[in-house]
Amino acid sequence: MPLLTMTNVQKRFGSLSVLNGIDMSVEVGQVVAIIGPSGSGKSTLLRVINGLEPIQGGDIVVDGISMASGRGLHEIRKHVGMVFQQFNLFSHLTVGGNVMLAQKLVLGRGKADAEKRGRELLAKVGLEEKWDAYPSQLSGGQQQRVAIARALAMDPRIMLFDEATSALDPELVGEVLGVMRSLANSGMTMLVVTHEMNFAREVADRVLFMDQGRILADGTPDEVVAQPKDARVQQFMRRLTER
Amino acid sequence: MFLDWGSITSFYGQLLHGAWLTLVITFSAFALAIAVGIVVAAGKMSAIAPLRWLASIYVEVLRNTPVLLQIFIVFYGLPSLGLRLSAVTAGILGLGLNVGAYLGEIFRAGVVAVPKGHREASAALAMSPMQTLVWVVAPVALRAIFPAFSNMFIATILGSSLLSVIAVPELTGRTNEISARTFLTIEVYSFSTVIYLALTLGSSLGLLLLGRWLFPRASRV
Ligand SMILES: Nc1ncnc2c1ncn2[C@@H]1O[C@H](COP(=O)(O)OP(=O)(O)O)[C@@H](O)[C@H]1O
Ligand SMILES: [Mg+2]
Repeated sequence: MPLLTMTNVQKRFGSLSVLNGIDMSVEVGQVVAIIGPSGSGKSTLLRVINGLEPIQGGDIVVDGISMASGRGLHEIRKHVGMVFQQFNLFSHLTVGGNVMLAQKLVLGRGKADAEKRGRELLAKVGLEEKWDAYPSQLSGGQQQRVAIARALAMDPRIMLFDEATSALDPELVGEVLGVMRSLANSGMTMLVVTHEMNFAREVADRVLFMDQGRILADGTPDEVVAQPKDARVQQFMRRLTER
Repeated sequence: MFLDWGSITSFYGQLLHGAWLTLVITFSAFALAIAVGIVVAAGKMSAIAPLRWLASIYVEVLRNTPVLLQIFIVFYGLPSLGLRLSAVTAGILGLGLNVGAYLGEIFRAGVVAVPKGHREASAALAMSPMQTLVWVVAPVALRAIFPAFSNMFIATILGSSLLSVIAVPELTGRTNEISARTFLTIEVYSFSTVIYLALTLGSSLGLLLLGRWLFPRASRV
């Protein structure tokens, strides 16, 4: 059974139709890169999966839980981690506070357990020594790695990344992509909206190309990025390489 | 001019008693104001339009009429509706309702100042709206508004002197009364001025230190 299934998902903002009947599924352990022009609905696709945006039609099922069911939204959010372009760390909490808060409130973990898990994950992203630092004392790359650790501390089944490196200075992109790469290698199921074509080519099992709220192409990195069949995708790739 | 500082020593006790009452009134009115402010801010940000209107009307009326008039209405007006309050209680109520209107606006500004990403991150971590409010929005908002919040506390200390008009023997009331009885006008008023300065400057310093302790520099947005 796929870990994530979207059937005929419709999303509108007022009269603007942003997702036009999305059908797709993601298997356990798959790393899916999502590419496409700005405004094509990539962020919205991720945001409907954990219910940050409600949908107007269709259904989303994560790990057997339907978004339409009673506690669906809450249960799905517990299973889905999200990393934002702007990091969105809690500015009033230390790094340790950031990685522990939801563990305690949502999973009901005691302080000792939450701290143990938090420190494990911070070590994994190479920031164990920053436990007592505040977000404002960290570089963008470090903040984003803390944000990844914070999401992983909830033991999610799927991780969503929305342009996780787009707000970073170029020299800091590598450290975040490195963490994402090792997460992919560890078997995490991931949906990654990105402009990093090298990451899509080398790390993703599968690439989706979105345009105007539809999935125009869905295949291996080779099929979608290297030798696209669709004219619209070809045009997008040509523009990217021209830059 | 002859100033008789020696004679007022016999009134120190009464004046300090007045200062104590000033503090009691201030803390009571401010506690009430915090509760009113939370309700007003919640009303102003409510999804239900009539609640927003009610909260706005409350704020505009209370901020655009004299506090003294509001205190009179509570003290002299409520008894005609069958609710008789002591002068102290009526004063605390009038002052608290007024300061609450200001605090409501301040709280609302604080909530607006919380970055949208904080709320999205909480939601993505499966925190409930209530958990998000208590553990994320409220502390970040309070950090943002703490200076304005502190100023309102000082304003409440000063505002409590209005209660002298309805014969509450707080510091200003006592001062008036002793001055009228003894004609040691300059001496008594000077002494009260010093007490007020001690109360306000002491509170400012205390609040400043509380803010530093609650909100380390690096924890700002
Ligand atoms: N909260 C919103 N309200 C109104 N329109 C929105 C909102 N969020 C996104 N949109 C619109 O939806 C479309 C898709 O946006 P988005 O999913 O952010 O695209 P992408 O991430 O591919 O750049 C855009 O036209 C955008 O303007
Ligand atoms: Mg986007």
